[in-house]
Amino acid sequence: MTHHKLLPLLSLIVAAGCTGELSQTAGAGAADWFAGAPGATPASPHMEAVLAFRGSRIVVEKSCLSCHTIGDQGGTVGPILDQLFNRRSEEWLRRWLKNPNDVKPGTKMPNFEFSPAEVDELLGFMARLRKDIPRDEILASEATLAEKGQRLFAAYDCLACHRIGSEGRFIGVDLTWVGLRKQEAWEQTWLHDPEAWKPGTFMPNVGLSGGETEALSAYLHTLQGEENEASRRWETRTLFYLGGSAQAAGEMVFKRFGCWGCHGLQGKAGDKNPNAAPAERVPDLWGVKNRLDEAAIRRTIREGAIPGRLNPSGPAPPFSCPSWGTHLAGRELDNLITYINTLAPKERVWKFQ
Amino acid sequence: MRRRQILGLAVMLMAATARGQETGVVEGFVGFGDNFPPPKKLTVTKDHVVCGRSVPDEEFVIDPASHGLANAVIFWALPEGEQAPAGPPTVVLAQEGCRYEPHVQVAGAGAGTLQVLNNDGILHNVHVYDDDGNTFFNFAQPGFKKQIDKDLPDSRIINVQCDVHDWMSAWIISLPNSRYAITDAQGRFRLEGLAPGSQQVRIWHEGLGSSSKAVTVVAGQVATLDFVIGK
Repeated sequence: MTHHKLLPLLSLIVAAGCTGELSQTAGAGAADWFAGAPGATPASPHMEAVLAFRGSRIVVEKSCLSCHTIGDQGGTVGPILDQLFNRRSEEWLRRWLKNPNDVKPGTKMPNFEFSPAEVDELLGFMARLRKDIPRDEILASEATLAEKGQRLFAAYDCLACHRIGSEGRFIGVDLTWVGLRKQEAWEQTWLHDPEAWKPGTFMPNVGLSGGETEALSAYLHTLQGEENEASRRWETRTLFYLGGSAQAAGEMVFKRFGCWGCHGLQGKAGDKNPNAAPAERVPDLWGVKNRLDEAAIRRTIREGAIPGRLNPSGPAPPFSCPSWGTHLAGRELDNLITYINTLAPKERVWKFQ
Repeated sequence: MRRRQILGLAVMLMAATARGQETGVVEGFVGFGDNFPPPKKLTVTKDHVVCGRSVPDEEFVIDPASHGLANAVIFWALPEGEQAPAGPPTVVLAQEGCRYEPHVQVAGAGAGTLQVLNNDGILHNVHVYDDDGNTFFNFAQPGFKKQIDKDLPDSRIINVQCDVHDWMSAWIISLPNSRYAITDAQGRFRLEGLAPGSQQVRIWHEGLGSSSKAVTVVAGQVATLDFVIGK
């Protein structure tokens, strides 16, 4: 089993942390921690290292890397964990580890029934993995705004959930084409407080400063797909030719172009789109084949769609559908339509002779 | 006094026996006519040592000779006031080679616990969905945890999935007050204990949903009922 090889690796990560800069934790919680009280913090950096080491053993024991990646090893089902502590608060992680389904109903992450001590140890390990983000240094540097954004994007490890080209994960929306889909102004609103735009979203509020949101939005706006077109085509095509169905290849197109960023997972819930006629929402795609004929769906994807204004004197709606016609290659449009046609309640019918 | 008691007991016994004889049996076949979907394989993307390179797609398990469809559940609801005899209180589901065994099973009268076995020695998670497709529970079962016992959801059609290995799927059909059978590898079934008369026999399959057919049951005899799927 590969996991047996991981224990020394993880211990090394912890040990490496020990020799680095030692954090200055107050000794107030020491007695509580020795008594095994949940939530108590260890007194000394040495004790932090012990806690982190125990946490790394849990990671191995419970096979966390079957789904998560730490360092350069692990699975692709869940987010990459290295910079987790930069994105989620300890309070949130405690709730999450207690029962993930309470925080995100339907999540793939199961309840491991961790004991309070195990949660402490895991958080100790995650805290040790975290690297400080040199915000001020990045923002004060000579680089362009987009370059600063790119460095911040890497520092927060946004690819832990998102994807650009062939890097990252499919947990958040694919960002390869985000510059084509979203406006910079909207990105700033979103990044400032995702929960305010979409209550219940899994996207964390990492407490970005105004300067950071500005830089990140500028970087995101530069992501217009072209550079990564080759890898994307390779991915969707191989999936089709190496035994995957047209539907699976189409689903990959739906993911890679970030369609669900506005239309929702499986096209089930369109995002809000203020002042867009008729319902101030991005249209759902669930059951769209019953509302539109295939030619109309094809035309809309190829040419795009700009929603009308509900109030003619009001502001333009933030979202419109770009014209994807020039970007979709080969069979991608056909496959995408095959997939979109499956977005409906599954028909289960007995037809007896 | 005592004699009357014994007499009463004898009468009850006779009545019970007579009722036993009053029921009939329905046998039949579930399967396809000339056209049936070809077998499909699902690609295994990880843990190849335990899971192999591919697993059969078990949504449609069809015998190429008879065209019989396995894993269809045939059931007949008992009339009001009658109670099916209690069966085992525990439904057992094993994870073996990154698939579930059995793929489809029935939770009968008295079943309240789901026991999940991990014979693979790697991490699985037991993600149980209720009728509405919502998560009922989702517990991790790391390799060292050979067995977990949890409450069965109060649902008719329960789907179990593993998110670590996303091709894994199993179904548990809750029929606390029915006579039931599951079709075998040749698509055959035998349903016992049906009351005489015209009865509505229901059928469920994961890929086809539910339907029903009427059959005339004659006490002490075997009636034939086929569900042949055509165009």
